[in-house]
Amino acid sequence: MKPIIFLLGVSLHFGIILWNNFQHSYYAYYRTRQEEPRALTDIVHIGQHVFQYSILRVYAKLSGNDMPYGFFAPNIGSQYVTEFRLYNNRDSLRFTLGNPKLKNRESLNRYSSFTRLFESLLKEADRSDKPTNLEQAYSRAVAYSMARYLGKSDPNISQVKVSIYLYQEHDSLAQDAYFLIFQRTINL
Amino acid sequence: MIVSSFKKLPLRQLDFLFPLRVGTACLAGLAYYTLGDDFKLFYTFDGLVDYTLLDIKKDTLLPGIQAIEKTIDNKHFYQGLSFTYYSLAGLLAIGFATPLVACILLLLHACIFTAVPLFSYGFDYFCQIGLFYCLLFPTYRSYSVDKYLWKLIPASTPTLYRCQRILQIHLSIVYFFNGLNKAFGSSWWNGQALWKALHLPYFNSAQWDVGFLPHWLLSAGGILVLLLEIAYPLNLLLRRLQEPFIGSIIILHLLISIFLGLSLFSLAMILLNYCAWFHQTRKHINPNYQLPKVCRE
Repeated sequence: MKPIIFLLGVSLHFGIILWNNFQHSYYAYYRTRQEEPRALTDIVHIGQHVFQYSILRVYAKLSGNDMPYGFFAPNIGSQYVTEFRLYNNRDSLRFTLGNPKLKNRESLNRYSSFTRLFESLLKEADRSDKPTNLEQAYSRAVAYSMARYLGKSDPNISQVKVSIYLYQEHDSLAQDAYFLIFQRTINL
Repeated sequence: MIVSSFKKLPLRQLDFLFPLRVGTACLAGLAYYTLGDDFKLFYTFDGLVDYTLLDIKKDTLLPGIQAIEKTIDNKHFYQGLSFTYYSLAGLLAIGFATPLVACILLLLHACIFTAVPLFSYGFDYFCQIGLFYCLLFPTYRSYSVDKYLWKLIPASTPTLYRCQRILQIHLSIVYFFNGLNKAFGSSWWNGQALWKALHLPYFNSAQWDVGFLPHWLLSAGGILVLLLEIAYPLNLLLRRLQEPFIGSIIILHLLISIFLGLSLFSLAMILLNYCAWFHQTRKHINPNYQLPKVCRE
């Protein structure tokens, strides 16, 4: 009985890991292709349906296997860089912050991971005042929330200008550039 | 060479459970410690991003630490949390009430670092995997307080073999899929990936200018990474490959730590590789082996 339970447990454990990664690889591969094989699509849909059960998701979360393994894959993405300009009551610039006053290397790693959510702002083609989808609305709300937090840390601050840039690399460091993808001024 | 020098260390007499338990406990402690004051920026209810927004991205039944803070509503919550977290990491390292401590630390780690995934990255998940295996494997049977208190015998050879095999298979899946997903993109083939990795603004405060390197060298570096990762599962089958292979993987992680500043992530991967492939237990079991008297009783 014991070996059977062991085998079942191991199968379930690796089944979850393999499923998560297969699904991720499937989407990574067919992202740029027009045709998806019908049989594979059906398998993916059935798997997604099974994986919706909370118990499996909680298990995957607790065992650290709810995310697929694809660090820097399929390509290394460009980073999104934030800038916060804090103005006082007389509209004069008091500080410019590249990040929210982070002091540690590890915090910066987490922050760089966090700024990937601003990718949705790239699609903001017309730079209009209204977001065109939920992801954009979410990213904007996060940017406002950060600006508000930084502004409230100093009672003399009345306005925060938040800018988000996409860092793009070229063939040499001299050509590297920051492209503005989002900019708003928040009155506190 | 690296592998051989590791094998000469006196640690050779140990099984892999001891370094797994102590290393994971240290990593968990470091995850908290290295954030310092910035911890409150990321993981408090009144932090950098409003918790209502963070909560939208939460995808499981586990509560985020911010939600727990709001429920308890005590001004000393974070002092208490630090004390509890470090104490649990310390108790896991010495192996006191190991399964219980590993379980609580696992839940706490998940609530802090991975329940709300916006601020988490690869390291948090590998630390969680380490904690999960500390709970699952009989880590309390190897140089622990539990072992001396309850007079436990060391884990049997078949058990050690099975546990280490699970870790080896898991790492093989990790590297294989990571390599496969990289192979789908063009940048790992044409050298652009290494160029980009060395220039990302948040990872490289020094900005390594590698413009003097020939283009083919960057391409070769990218392809070498792909090969190392995709061929990693071969270690399961070919014992002779293990020394050069795992040595190369460890060098790769050291380079990631130096050039990208992802020190904790590299440390976690080196630890898991060390536990999976060093102190290997042989499958062959001595037919004359007899269980110690305590166990037979």
